[in-house]
Amino acid sequence: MTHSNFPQSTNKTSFIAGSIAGLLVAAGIFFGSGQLTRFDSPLAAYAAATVLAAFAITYRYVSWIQRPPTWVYFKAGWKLFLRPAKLMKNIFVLIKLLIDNIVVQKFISNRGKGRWVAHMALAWGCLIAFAITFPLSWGWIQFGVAPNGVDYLVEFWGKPMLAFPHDSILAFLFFNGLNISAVLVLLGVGIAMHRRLFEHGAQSVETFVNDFMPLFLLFAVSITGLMITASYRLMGGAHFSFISMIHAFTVIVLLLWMPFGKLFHVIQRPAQLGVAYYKEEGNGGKQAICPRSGEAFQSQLHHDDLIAVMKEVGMDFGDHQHLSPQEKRKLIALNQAASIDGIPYVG
Amino acid sequence: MNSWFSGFSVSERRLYIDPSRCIGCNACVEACAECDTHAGISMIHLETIQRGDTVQTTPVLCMHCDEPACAAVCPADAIKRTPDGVVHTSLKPRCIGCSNCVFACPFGVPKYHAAFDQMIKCDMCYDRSSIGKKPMCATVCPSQAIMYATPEEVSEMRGGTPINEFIFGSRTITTKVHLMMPKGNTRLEVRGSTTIRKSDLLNISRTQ
Repeated sequence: MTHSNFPQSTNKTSFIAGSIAGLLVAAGIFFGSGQLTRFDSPLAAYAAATVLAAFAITYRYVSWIQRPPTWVYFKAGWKLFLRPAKLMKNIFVLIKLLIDNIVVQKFISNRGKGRWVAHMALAWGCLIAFAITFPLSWGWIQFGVAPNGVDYLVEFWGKPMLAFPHDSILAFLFFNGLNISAVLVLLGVGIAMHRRLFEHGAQSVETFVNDFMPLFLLFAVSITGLMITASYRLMGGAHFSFISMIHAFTVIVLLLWMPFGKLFHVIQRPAQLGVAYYKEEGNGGKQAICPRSGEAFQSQLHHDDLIAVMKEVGMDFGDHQHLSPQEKRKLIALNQAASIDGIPYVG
Repeated sequence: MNSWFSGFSVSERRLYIDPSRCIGCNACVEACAECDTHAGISMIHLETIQRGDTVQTTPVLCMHCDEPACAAVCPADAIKRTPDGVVHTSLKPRCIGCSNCVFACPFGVPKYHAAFDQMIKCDMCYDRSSIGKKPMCATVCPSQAIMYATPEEVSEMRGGTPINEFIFGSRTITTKVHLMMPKGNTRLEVRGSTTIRKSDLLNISRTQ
């Protein structure tokens, strides 16, 4: 079935997009590290994993947005956002949406405070760790000695950015950023694991691959990362190489697994922001009226788009689709009653 | 058929809905929220059909379609159907709260829960039904408008015929959950123009 408003989903498009993303990361590494002069070769495995992950994540993302229902929101979300007349307002709205949905994750706190703490710890632990690990493994960030010969110097793309004394709070945060993120992730994993093991409702729907695998992977990455610190701080460097290798292995597995598992929602989730613009536009426009109840029940924009999507995916319910959900709910009982010939119940 | 042990077998229990038996007591609505997978939120809609013309009410719970429209139109691929035929509530990490499923479902079942920015729906009390227990609604329904039983039990106890084939426009949908219909029916063509009026019911009772 074809429809001119929808892209013809192809693996080729996804492959090309994935390849471009992989090449962009590789080019970013090459030029950002001063043609590899600042590239830290012990971190080469991490860098290679990010190139492969960029390919795989983009491949999956492009395959995903080509699905008819996703394409509607992807296209409409960007179109509504980029309208010149409303661009400034949209940017302010975007900042608010980002704070509510991504930074503070209000909608998760409504599901439960424990869940919210766990998710905030996991999300921010991972984001901090990625923000540190990626530029380091790409050779974008280097540490050196400041011109005064005493302070630490942070260089980004070979340019001095900031300097700080080695015993400052900033230094503590820089040197322990990955340890702090690992502790945050372990806290989140602990709370999430407790829920998975002891909450009856969660137990009945959870699966190993979807729900435990990401927790095990995050646990493995965090604990082996902390063991590196333990090795050089507490164990006199014992087994450092082995622990580093194990840690690199866990990080690479996590990165390569991202497009296939639950953690892909990190990439998918911003679509929620596009939907918010779509809803706002729909609420302010014409409303679809249910032919049975005579009441408005859905934005006309959403109604028309959804009917096109439903035809595209082989779910054409004809006039039934013009009814509000409430009228649809009544119709089964009404039609059952109409079929009863005699006493007014089936028996 | 599940063999429990050699020489003895029982059919799988199924969910049967009979709106004509519903007395509108709301017990199913309240019990639904008690299920562990629903976390205090009721997934059942109890609808008053045509107030003024009839006192009829109906419980509406997910029919668990073999080809769920809700999943087909989900942009986030957040709605999954397990091999046992149960269509689950949206996956929390994926659902982007667009409400496509709410408006696409031909039975009008999914609910958009604004506080969670997520779609929620009946999952047949998966914590219970997946281990052979009745869904909460079926445990409390006093008139057996919602019944969880084997086909043999239904055949023995009921005069009607269970059907699970529904026609909406030109599309046929088959479901895991069955609707009780008068004997001889094999499917239900759902017509939007259908009405039942008090006068119709009075006429029927006068002719008895």
